[in-house]
Amino acid sequence: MRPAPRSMGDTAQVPFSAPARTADRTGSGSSASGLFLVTAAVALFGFAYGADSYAAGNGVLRPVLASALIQGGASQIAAAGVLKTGGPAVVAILVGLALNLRFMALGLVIASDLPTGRLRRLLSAHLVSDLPVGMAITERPAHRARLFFVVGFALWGAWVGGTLLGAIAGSTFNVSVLGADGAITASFVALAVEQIAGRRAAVVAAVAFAVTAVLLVWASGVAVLGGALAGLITERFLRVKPEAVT
Amino acid sequence: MSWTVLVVLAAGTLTLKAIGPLLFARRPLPPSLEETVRALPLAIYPALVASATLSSDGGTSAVERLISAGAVLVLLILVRNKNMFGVAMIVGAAVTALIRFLTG
Repeated sequence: MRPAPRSMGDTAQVPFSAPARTADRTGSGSSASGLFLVTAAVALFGFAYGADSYAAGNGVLRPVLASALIQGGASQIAAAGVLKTGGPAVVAILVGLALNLRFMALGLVIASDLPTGRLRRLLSAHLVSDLPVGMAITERPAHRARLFFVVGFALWGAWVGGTLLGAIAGSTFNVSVLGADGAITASFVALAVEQIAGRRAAVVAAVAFAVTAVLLVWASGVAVLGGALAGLITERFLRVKPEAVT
Repeated sequence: MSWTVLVVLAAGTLTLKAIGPLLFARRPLPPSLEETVRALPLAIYPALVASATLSSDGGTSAVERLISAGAVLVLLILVRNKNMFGVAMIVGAAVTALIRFLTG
């Protein structure tokens, strides 16, 4: 667990530092089973996406290139959904980009841990996604880059490889049978719980969850974004208030 | 997905991902921004949980997904302080599969 953002009086706190009780965790052995499972689950989703995309008449090359170059499952599926229902290309692009706006935030989160050099940082940025960043920031800063690349490459490979196999197999495949979606959701729950330390953080998390849930009803494309924004505002409010008193 | 959508979405997504890493390649985040950035994961991951459990994906029931996520949350609250990532995923998959098996 990370400390609540801005625990009072802890001014010497290193940004993103892990508290002492988890400081001995290196993530090498302990996360290995988690990494394997999440890779398998992502590969299954890739397979389902590839099969669906092939069935929609996109051939093999296009879904594989989409997975390799976009590397954002939710946005690919949402954009495909817009096109499938006869929506214009502009809307498909906008919905996809709205879903991927959180990657800008996650790119900022991991920015200070990435290697130097413009090209290397650009290529590293391509791996930015929910799980690589979320898993990496549970580590001490010195271990973050390594875990980010391990998870990032594993999931990119699983997503692209799964898409390729699905497009080749061409038969639609219901991932929900195996509970693979439950595994992915569980990984998000685990990443969220990692961030919750203390009552204030729990309030922020609850607000982010609730606002997203409400937005999903009529603005699903920007629900995560709106929920995260509401969480940020809540965090700001809860953080600033006690300071103003002192 | 047409080629236009593919290319524009890919370029746009990479731009979004690369803004942070490229803009702050040679200098640290400014303190004002750093505080917000530090709070981002806390705001983003619960929102993702809501999206993953409650969005209508056409095939599966939101209640099933919510129960599964709730079971994982309870587990992680009871057994804190350990690396539960792998266990959480197995439990999430198992509970989801079990509910679907039972409810047919």
